[in-house]
Amino acid sequence: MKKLIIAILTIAAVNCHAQGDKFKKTAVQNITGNAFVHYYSRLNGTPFYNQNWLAGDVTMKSGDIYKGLPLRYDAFRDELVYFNEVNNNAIIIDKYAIVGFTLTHNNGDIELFEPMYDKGLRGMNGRYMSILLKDSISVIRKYEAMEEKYNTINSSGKTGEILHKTTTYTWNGKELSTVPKRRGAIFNQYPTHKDELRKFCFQHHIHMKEKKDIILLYKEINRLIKADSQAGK
Amino acid sequence: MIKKILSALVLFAGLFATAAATTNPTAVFLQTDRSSYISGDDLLFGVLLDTNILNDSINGNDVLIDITAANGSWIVGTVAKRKQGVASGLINIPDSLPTGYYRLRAYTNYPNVDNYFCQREFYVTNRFGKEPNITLRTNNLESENPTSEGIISLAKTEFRTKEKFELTLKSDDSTSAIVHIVSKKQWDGQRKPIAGKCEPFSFNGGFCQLTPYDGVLITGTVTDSAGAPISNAVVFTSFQDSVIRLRYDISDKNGRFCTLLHDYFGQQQIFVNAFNSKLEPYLNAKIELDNQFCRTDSNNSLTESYQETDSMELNKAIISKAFDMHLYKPQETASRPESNYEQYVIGTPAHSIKTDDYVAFTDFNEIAREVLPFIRIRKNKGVAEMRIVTDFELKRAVNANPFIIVDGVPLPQLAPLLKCGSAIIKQVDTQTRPRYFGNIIFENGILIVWTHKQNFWDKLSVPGTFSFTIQGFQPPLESGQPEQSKDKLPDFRQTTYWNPTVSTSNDTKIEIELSDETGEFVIEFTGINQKGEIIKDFKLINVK
Repeated sequence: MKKLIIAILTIAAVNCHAQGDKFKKTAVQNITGNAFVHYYSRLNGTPFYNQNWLAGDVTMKSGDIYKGLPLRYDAFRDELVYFNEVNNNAIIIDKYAIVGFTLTHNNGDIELFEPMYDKGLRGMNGRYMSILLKDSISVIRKYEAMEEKYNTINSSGKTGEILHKTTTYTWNGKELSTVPKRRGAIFNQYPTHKDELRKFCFQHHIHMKEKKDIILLYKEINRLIKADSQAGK
Repeated sequence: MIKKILSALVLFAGLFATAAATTNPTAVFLQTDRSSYISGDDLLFGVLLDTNILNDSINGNDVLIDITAANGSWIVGTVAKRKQGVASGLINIPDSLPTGYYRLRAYTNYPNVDNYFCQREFYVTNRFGKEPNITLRTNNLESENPTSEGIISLAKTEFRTKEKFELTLKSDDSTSAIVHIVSKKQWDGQRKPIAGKCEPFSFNGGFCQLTPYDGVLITGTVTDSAGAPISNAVVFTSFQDSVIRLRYDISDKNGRFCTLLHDYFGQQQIFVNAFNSKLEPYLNAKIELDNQFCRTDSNNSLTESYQETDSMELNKAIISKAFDMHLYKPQETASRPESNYEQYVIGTPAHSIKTDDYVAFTDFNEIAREVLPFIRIRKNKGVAEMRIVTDFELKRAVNANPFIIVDGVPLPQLAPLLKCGSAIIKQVDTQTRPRYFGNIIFENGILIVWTHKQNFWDKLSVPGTFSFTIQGFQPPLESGQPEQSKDKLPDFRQTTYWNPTVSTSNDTKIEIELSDETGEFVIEFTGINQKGEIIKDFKLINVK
């Protein structure tokens, strides 16, 4: 009896789910791109920022939003790759058609990436950056994967290794600066608010070791700057 | 016991599914600027739709407006874009219409909902035609009682000609509304709008899995030469243009396909052709598009009586035409959507050549031989074949024709292209890498050809390629203020004021300037609130 009810409820649930799936065809219809060719076989390591496919949303310049696509960010070539479940192909989505995309991590955190276009970004113009904070002083993060060649080819035939590097920047729309790893260096950048910032870090236990610490501190910096401009300072 | 639980659960699931699939439209209202027109006039209309349903992204935002005659025959139609509960625009009354009553219909055609339908009769006098017997004017006042008095607030009711005044609309609710001012004579003649249905039309694209939002939905059928539906065909719709605007759908088991045109304005010519899953063309396929408009009219017959059209109305129409005095002018719209994903279909071409950079070539074979080393054209059993070379060193080429696009439209046959030399062809772009477009793959590369005049498809008939003219959205109209009359010219506007895009919240003020016409006028307010209720109010004013 119990089993029967469970079975019926399962069928009902599948039925409801099928209703929600009705726009699946639209979900990828207008995505364009090239085939992803994996040419890293002679290197140790992975070029991907996220090792596994993560669900994410992609917003296109056309206004289309594709939700829940399996995505991987190739930090080596700076490309977004999605897995097309209909033709079983990994496809590099044309970057010039993308406004931004998100990756939903296994712990539920949603990370937003946008291709940044500005001459002030120097060599990173057009690169996908993780947007940690969007404000008058934005905090953005670059994930980079670089090849480090071995002096000799090792026994497994590998010629080198892919190393990952993460750099966090502040961006005010004109100038790009690296976020210092030490709190003290940040306080020195804002001498008029040094004491307030020190107090804020003490109250919120900010040690700059985690992403959320950086976000919290720069939210406060933005708030103080906004208050200054309102007061006409 | 088990049976009872089972049936109860199945019933519950069924009810749930039905509730999710259908939504009942609760309110629709059709307003016209006047009740009688002279043939050749522009009829201004506004359609109020329930905003609760409008916010549902499953529904589309296009509203179909058309005119049918007393015998039910379809005359003319347009597609209006709805915004904040109102779809408005104009429809030109053809000069050829004989005197009599006609029906203006406004309806939607969205999948999985009970669609809106509303109609309103209006009168047309053909200025060149013979007047029929004139019978008594029909006064429909009793059907136009205000539902919410006190919305229109006026400091006085007596005005002078050309007087400027401020109209205050007092409304607690946030309302999308149509405000218009017409002569009492015109107002008296207006007929009550009636809801109805267009049965044979009711949505014929229920199979379509596209989300019909922000666009005009086009549906059709692809069949083979024997009339049998072709399933799983890749049906491309495209436009002859200087950029590629390509979209596709996979036909279902009944050969049905659909496409959605975002932000396309005015009349558009689209090209449709079908390919199999390997992108080999169906040269014998027959493609038909469904009618965008409901061509049948099974509603009750029209009013038999005739209305008087006085000489004043005729004179106003003549003055309006002579001095180009219109309340509205269509806004300029881009010929195509500004940000268009279709342009990305080919990606960055691997090779691109311009024929002007070289000596003149007589045909495409010569162009390929001289300046496109990655293209091979050969004849196999008398049929020309084209191959794209992907690897020069290994002399490796793909083993099927590339996907060819000429002036933005897929070309299923090579023959028409081979005749073209550099006198016709301006540029050739080649994509040698496989490209992905949604769920389809251009495995054999893409050849994109642009002609100098971008008119390759004019007068060209290629088997399996069909061209259709469809109605995109009507270009939006300029602001609701009446056009100020030119100096020293008499101002006898046919409609004194017409604004179908009024948003009220608390006190909303509107500036009005009256015309040179004297007599009684009616200020009418018709709105729809957030609950989907139609609110009406009107005030009589006297102009001396």
